[in-house]
Amino acid sequence: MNITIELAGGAELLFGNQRKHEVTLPESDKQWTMATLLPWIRDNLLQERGELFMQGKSVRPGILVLVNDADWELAGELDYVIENKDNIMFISTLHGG
Amino acid sequence: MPLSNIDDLFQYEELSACRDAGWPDCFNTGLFVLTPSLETYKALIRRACDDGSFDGGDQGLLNAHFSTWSHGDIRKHIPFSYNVNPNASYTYLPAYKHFADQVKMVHFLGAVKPWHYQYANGRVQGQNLTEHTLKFLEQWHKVADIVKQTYYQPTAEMKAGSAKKEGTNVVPTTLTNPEILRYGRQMIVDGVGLPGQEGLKKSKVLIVGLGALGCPSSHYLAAAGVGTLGLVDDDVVDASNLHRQILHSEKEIGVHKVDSAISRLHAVNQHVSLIPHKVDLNASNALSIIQQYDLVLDCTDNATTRYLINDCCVLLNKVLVSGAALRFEGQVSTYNYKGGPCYRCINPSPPDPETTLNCFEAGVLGPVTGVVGSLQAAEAIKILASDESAYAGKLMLVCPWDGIMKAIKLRPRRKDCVVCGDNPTVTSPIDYVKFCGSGKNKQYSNASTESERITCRQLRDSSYKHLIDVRPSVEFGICALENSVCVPFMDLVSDKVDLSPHIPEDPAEPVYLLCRAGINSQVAVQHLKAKYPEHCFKDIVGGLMGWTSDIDPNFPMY
Ligand SMILES: [Zn+2]
Repeated sequence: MNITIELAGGAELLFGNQRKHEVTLPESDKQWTMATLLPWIRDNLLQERGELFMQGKSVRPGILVLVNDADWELAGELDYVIENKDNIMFISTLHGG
Repeated sequence: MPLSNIDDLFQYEELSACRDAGWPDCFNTGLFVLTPSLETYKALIRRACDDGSFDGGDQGLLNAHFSTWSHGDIRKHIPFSYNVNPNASYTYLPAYKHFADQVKMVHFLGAVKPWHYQYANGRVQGQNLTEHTLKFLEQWHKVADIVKQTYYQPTAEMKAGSAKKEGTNVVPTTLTNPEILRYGRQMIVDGVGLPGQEGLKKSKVLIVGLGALGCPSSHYLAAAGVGTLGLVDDDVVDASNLHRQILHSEKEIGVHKVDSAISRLHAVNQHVSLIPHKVDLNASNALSIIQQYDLVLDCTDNATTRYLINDCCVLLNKVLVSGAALRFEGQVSTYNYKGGPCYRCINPSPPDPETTLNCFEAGVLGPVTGVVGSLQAAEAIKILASDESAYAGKLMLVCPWDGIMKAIKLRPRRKDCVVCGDNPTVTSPIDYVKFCGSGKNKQYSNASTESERITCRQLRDSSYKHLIDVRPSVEFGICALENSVCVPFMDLVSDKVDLSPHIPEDPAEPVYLLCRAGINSQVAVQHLKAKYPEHCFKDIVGGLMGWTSDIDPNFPMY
């Protein structure tokens, strides 16, 4: 399954300063959900310490998660079942001005 | 309202005041004499934090603090004629008559103020008012009229405009002809029109922060004819602001940002009423400031103030147009609009201050903040003119550097939101510094002990062999010390680079770590110490900013 992972708001700094990652998720007999995708991203894409990205089973405060340009809460958060060609985006909330 | 000269109050000592009509053992805080002092201020703040106020307001707090007033020095009791409350629930009518001529100052106590009464032809309309209250109210209005005539002289164009009403236009409007001419180019845009422009004219907008976002947004709103703009900031203009804070210019370096903004905005549109708020917005003053306005623009630069503004806007039911920018990116959203989410619905928990970046650390491009501030102004105009929002329930992401702008859909209001949810637990402003774990200015924990640090002077006087500069390479490219090598902090702590070329064979030779302000270098020392426990690592106190101030004033600072 192929998906796009995008990073913005500074979250890309945790991923080698690369804002877009086209990735192929390995075949699995279980469905890929956000709950299984997050640790996969942590173990395979993240370039920094895991706690800068995740807290418990979810993302740490200050990072918004979007599934196909909408807040992941609208898609079911951790239970959302990933589909081929999905766009998953992680955005750090900005505070500067 | 003073009715005669009150200079004699200067002869009183702290704390002198008049008896309160409702509880004469307390003084009324409508008028009191005190000596301005930082100690008193701090003591009052401490008392307010520790004990609060028995009446929830200033009078309870001050009476608790100056508790010896009622039974102390009688010379500190100012006569009641200096603080007469004509509308107090109990009044001693014959005394009011008898001493009427001696009243020095009238205190219009309570929620209903003189300007709430209808006034025409020298008469105030109001029910159940005593004779003396009416007299004082009418006197107030007479003074107000004089002040208006003296200080708010109608300009030639306003006079010309008022002539319009005698013309042939049958459309009733609060706008003058010169205003219609001036704002015509925006009024003929669909969605604005005459009602939209009238809406802007009667609106009051508060702009919190006169930095990179507050400058463009306040400029556009003043130019668009918003009737009243409140301006909040407590900082002065610095040279490093000028690349993005477009209201301020070189001659205003060192000038208060509110003063600088007012002079510029007044030049743009003299008809806008500009209200200065030269304060650091905090939990004790935010509600009273925000409640005076219809809509708030969050143009601040830190998470702590953002939570404060959000909560106050929810509590007071004000729309919040929020903007943020960093590096080459910006974000805009409208919160608390017609049942939509608030800032806390989207960000229920504050970020770890260690993981957030600000403009000092990460930088920001001027035009990016210009885009964000302009979007905030456009949104404010849309809401005030047409009562519709473009960004409620959405987050606008802008990245002019990559040529990307897109709106993403946010979640709806959280039913369990602590401030706007169904059962809110935040019902008044909280301690936001505690909540966010960091104040307006970032606090850093000192990672290094004294023995692990040296000063810039010590570094200069040493014949150092190993000096690692941990700033990002783009900053190293702006300026650097002789014989220093660049190993960016992120690379160093994530072990992405081979550090061995920088580690001396002889563990006794010290390795010095340098950064911009002396923060990251401390973390780098701790990281390297754990990796090379035999070696000696030291960080340089104050970093390169310290180098400029202590050693070489010609070394560039940015
Ligand atoms: Zn909320």
